[in-house]
Amino acid sequence: MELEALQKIAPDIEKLGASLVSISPQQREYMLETAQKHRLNFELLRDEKNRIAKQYGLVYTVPEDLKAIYLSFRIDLEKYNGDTSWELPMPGRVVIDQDAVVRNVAVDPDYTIRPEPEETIAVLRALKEG
Amino acid sequence: MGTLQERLNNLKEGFEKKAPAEVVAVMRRVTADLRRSGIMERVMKPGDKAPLFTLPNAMGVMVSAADLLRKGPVVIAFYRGIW
Repeated sequence: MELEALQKIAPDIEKLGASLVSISPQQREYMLETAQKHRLNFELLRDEKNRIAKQYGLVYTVPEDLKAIYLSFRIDLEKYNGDTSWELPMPGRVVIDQDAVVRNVAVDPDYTIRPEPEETIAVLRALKEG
Repeated sequence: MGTLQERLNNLKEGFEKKAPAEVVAVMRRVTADLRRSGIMERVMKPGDKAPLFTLPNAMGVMVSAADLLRKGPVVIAFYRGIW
């Protein structure tokens, strides 16, 4: 749902001179599926073993009881991610400026809380105006 | 339609209505534990130097943050997966 919402503002992001990418630990075949399912045309990048997400401080391990629930829903993270860690990134949106400085971070431990796409547009607009 | 968050809230409400109570309880506890774990203090903050990356896209082509930054700012959406 969030990726589809981002797709809708992708043209506005581009107009503001910025790029939009998504980063996920899932394997490439699922990236293709994600792109098709949600009709996405921005880059979906594969972050093997969450190496980059860890550098952004976003990664946690799914505890055993939740892992059992995920498996009961046929969500096998070993299959999706191609590693046995059961680690996931907190979903989050980060804006970095041209000097590679972090300018905005929107993340919450509750994965059902996501920033509105318009908030990201406002951040980019403010960056452009200086 | 509503905002993204309104739509997500509706989705969550629908799930919590039909899911077994013990499943909902575990999910809520895990979220609360994560919040208490101190993870938010370790997340990158505005003003920090952003870790750069070069990662493969869905076609296997390498995409580098440094290249994207030459054009302008970069928005990164960290995403768990298709499931």
